[in-house]
Amino acid sequence: MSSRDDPQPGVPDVGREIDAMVDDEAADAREELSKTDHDTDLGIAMAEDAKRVSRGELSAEAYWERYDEAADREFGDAYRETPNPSIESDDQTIDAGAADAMSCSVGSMDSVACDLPAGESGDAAVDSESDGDERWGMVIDLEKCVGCDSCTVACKAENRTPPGVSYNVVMEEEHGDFPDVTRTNVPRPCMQCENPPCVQVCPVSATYKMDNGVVNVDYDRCIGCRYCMIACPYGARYFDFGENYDDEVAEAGEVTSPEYGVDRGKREGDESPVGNVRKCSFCTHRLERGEEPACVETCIGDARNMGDLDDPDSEVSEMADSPRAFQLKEHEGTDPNVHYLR
Amino acid sequence: DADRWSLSGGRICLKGQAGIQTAFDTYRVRKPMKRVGPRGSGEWKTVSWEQAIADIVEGDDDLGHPGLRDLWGYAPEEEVMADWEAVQSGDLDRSTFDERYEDVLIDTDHPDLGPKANQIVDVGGFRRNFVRARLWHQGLGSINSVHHAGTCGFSSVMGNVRSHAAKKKRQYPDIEHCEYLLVWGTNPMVANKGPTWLAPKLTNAIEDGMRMDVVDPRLSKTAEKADTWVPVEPGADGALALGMARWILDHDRHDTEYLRNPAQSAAAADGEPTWSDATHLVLVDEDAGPKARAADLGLVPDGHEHADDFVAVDAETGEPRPASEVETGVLDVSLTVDGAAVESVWRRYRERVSEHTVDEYAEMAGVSADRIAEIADEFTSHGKRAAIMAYRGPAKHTNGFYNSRAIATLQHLVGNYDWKGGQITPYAGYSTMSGRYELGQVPDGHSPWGIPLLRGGVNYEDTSLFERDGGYPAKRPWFPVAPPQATQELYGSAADEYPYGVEALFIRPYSNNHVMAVAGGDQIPEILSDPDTIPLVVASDTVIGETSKYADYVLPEPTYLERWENFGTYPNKRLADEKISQPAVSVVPDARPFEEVLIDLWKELDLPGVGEGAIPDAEGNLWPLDRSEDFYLKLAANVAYDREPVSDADADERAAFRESHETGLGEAFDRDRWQRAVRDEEWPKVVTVLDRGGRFEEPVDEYADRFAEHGHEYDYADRFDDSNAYDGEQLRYKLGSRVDFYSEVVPTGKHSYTGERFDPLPRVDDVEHYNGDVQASVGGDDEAERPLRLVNWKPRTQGMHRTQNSPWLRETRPENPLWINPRDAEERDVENGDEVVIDAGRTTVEGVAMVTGGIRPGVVGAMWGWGRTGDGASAQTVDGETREAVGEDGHTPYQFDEPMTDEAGLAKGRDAGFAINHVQPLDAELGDTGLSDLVGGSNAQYDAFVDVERR
Repeated sequence: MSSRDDPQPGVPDVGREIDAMVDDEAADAREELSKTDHDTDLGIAMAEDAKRVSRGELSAEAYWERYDEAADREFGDAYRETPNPSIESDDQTIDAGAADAMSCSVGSMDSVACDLPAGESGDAAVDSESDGDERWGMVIDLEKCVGCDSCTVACKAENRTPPGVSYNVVMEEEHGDFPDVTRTNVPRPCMQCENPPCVQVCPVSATYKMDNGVVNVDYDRCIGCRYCMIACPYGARYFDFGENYDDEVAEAGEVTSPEYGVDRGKREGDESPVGNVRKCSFCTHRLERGEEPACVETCIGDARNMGDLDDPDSEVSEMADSPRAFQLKEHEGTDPNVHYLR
Repeated sequence: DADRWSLSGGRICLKGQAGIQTAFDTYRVRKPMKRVGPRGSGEWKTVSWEQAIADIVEGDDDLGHPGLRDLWGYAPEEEVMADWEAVQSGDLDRSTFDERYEDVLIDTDHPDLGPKANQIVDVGGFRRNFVRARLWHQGLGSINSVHHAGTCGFSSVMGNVRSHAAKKKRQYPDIEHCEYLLVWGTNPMVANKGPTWLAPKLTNAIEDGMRMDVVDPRLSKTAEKADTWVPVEPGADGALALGMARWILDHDRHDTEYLRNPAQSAAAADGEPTWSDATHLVLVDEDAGPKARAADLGLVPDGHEHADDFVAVDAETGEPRPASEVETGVLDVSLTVDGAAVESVWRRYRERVSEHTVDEYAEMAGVSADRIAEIADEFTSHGKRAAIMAYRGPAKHTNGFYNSRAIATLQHLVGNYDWKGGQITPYAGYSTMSGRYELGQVPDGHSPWGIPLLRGGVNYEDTSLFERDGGYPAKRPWFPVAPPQATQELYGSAADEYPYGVEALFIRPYSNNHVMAVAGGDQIPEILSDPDTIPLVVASDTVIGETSKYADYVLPEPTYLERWENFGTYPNKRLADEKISQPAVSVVPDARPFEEVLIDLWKELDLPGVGEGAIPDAEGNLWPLDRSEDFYLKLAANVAYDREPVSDADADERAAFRESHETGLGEAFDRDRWQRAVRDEEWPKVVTVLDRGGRFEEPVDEYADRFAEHGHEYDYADRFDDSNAYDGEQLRYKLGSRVDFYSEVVPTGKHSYTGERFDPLPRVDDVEHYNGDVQASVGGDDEAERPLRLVNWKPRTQGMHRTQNSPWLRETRPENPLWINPRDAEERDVENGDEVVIDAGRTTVEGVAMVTGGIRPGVVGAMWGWGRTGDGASAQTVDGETREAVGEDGHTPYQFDEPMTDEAGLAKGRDAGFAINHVQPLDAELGDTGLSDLVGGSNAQYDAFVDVERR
């Protein structure tokens, strides 16, 4: 009988193989940015350097020094009127004045970061202890992930994402030769990094870190430059081209998801989030209601776990501390709030 | 992990998550439609429901089809056969007989074919209690109501039926307590019944240390999680199982004590809930080799209480005795009793198993002898806490029945039935059809009789056709020891009018899309296209599908989210349950469930069982049946009042019930009407049942208190001493019966081509056509016609052929690539992602190669469900307006990724991929359908041979 500390069937010994899977799935940077109105070379340079900030190889201050002029030229007022993010500081939120000035559609950054409403429901499990001070984290047990894609579709159903936008894919890779073959299934939501290069790179501060661990996207400020898509080491960001399912599915656009707590009504024309970059939000709107994210609730392998990483006694904290735990691309210095068990 | 409390609100697999897209499919049939032009022309006009009903009943001159009123005829069997006897004995004129019955019998020369009503055929699947038992059988008096079994794991079911004497037979493992689980030809992580139930049990059991091995020619999602993947040669599962049995017998690893119990009394003394027939004696010289009964051998006089006992040799005295009087039987017996030669079942089984060595079995199975020894050793190293979960893989070959039998008898060897961690067979439900309301009773109903169209459960040689046709071979296969559900035979039988023609076919392709689901289903359209073959074809469907597009009428059916259904319990549940689904949303206002269409038709035809006075209650009052809910709400009441009645829904809950139904159904919800379907005092309990989706037994006493404390959890049954699932070390709901190594029922049936009796024991068999031509050799040396064996499996992303209309699902897997081993790919210069041509001899198809070490060399395979031409995959014209086929979703520049890496999430069209059943071989004798297992009834679907080359 196998011991729990042994490598498990379907999980490779080395995290690097899984990292390589992420790269295999990622879009080509130049190709992606060539589809936008913004400078491709600038985007690639900013994205690469944003990752260096995450890795601690470049300071945020030096970063903006280096790009201030080019960003100003490229993005004009949208750049000038927003503060420059720094993912180095422990408190990544900005001051109240700046936040007010930006009139974030999801409330000021400050309020979003600090005063996320506590869950309403007392009897649902996740937040029965919820006090609004959580740092939400997810732990995915690869031994128990059966690679069924239920999370992928649950996410589509919950977040009503358009064709081509899938916040939560399951990567699959084969190792070995017949008959000693294994396959690895790696679900890949947004990592909700503690040091997110996507935040560092954003010239308009449309994406930013909240105190609850979730990386927010303010669709009303996002200009769709897609630099963040290139900066994300995990390929977890997608552009909303405005596609829809209307040909095949009646009333498909009647319902949208209140992502980040904002109910935007029907999906219409080129209104946000059309034209914006989108990604997994840990189902913030469900967390606020005291529910698990849709992917966690539905996981048929019982592989996904959600909880408060700031609570050392929480199940996810214990799992994240286990010898089996690892993060994707740990060398990137991003410190994801999504942990995996091998 | 049994210590883990699940905090989840409930799991839904991806098919369920996407169900809303099936309901809101813009390609749904929205009005009753009548064909314009010939069948299959793709042109339709909408008609009113009244018009559709009238045309189906009275016939239609435009289309030239007859109506049910003219087609239908019925006379009771007793009356007909009494007159027929009178004709034989000369007491009645033959001409009088003909005159009396020519309007009601199919053929007065062959009255055993039954009434004309039998030529009106139903093909459905779900809602069996309502549509089949009530409306078709008793209302119409037709014996022919067919479900999906022939295209499903029928031979597996029958293999278990013939291996277990109890009413409950299908086997599941007690996953939570299993130490060793052998999964055989099924994929419970993402398929089977069902992933949301089985997958978390399996992953948690593995985490807790259960060893799972998986037998499958390809690395399924379940095999990925296995300790050992055993890539068996397709169709050679019987050889693998008998090889394991050989090793077990050679090493004395079987539970001798268990096997020597000849009856319940002896088993009970050992604390065993079941016992086997191992010690029972067989009359070896008698035709069909029945088991001896005590009176047969003169051990007790006729009429004695033990006269019908099986006979075992008592180990204490060495004398044959009625089984129930023997405490310990002798296993290996060969002797003569009262002039009759007898041998024990065990001796026969042992001889059968010993026909080959482990090495020989290994060669046949394509699995090393060491591997066979390893899994046989493991299976017999955990006492009762080892179990097998088997389904389609071994079963869907013409030798599937014998394969399934060989696997079942492995369980007999360890006697793991009803034990914690062994096989479970609870089948514990709640009463649905009776109690408060006698839903199965039809006042003045008909009794269907005659030879079923699909020739199941009838011996060819006992029918009048045997003489007419000159004995063997019969024109088409008979299935004498299986129920008449060999679906794959339906269309060829209609075309051959064998045993009789089909005048009207009613089909619900939503669950029986035979053009896609039958091996060789590509032959069906030609048969359906000819109105002379089946003059009236009515489809009740959610979309214009591959089968329904050949109908005269397509009537709009609700999807499962819009109608009623009762799913009975299943043996994988340890506790009692009964599921009732109800309309949750109304998407197509004119859609009507098929049972309501039938109610209207039956009313027009004055048939019993519908309308006023149709349903008796327990006090003998009669209730009307006009709508679906008249039936299903009464069914909910029966469920609510079974055993201890459920508690009443309080006023708050009833208000929430009302509000949610008004929101979901809008005008389609008539609460007063629903409430009037039951008595006032029953309504609050009915609401309780409906709100919970049925009734589910409490896993422990005072569950409500514990739920309040702990929340959801799927392991209550294990956590507390007062578990309702177990009684000590055994399941509370038991099989509690004899288990059979030797079936005396099976050899009562004969192969209708050769006249040879079927085998009472499991055996190694080739895969054969009806005429005996070998399609795939297991024991012999016959060369296959092409080098690669083609297998197939259910896609994890699709539910039958019902869900291809969901772009979310098509995004997760846009098509069905052909899995091919690198060895076979290299030989053909094929690389991953290459476009390939798959040559199946009678046809070729195009596909995309997925080169993977996860499939056995010499075997290729793909998921079924793709290659569609219906359900929005082809253009259809309704009322002059043409709707084009669905294209790929999204219009962004996008390169589809190669197989194994396609994660980017854009769907292809609904026609993507190739149809696996359209490359299956046709039966060499029949030419119009695939191969069949004549013992178990399944359609063979894993026995095609193909070659593959790069395009």
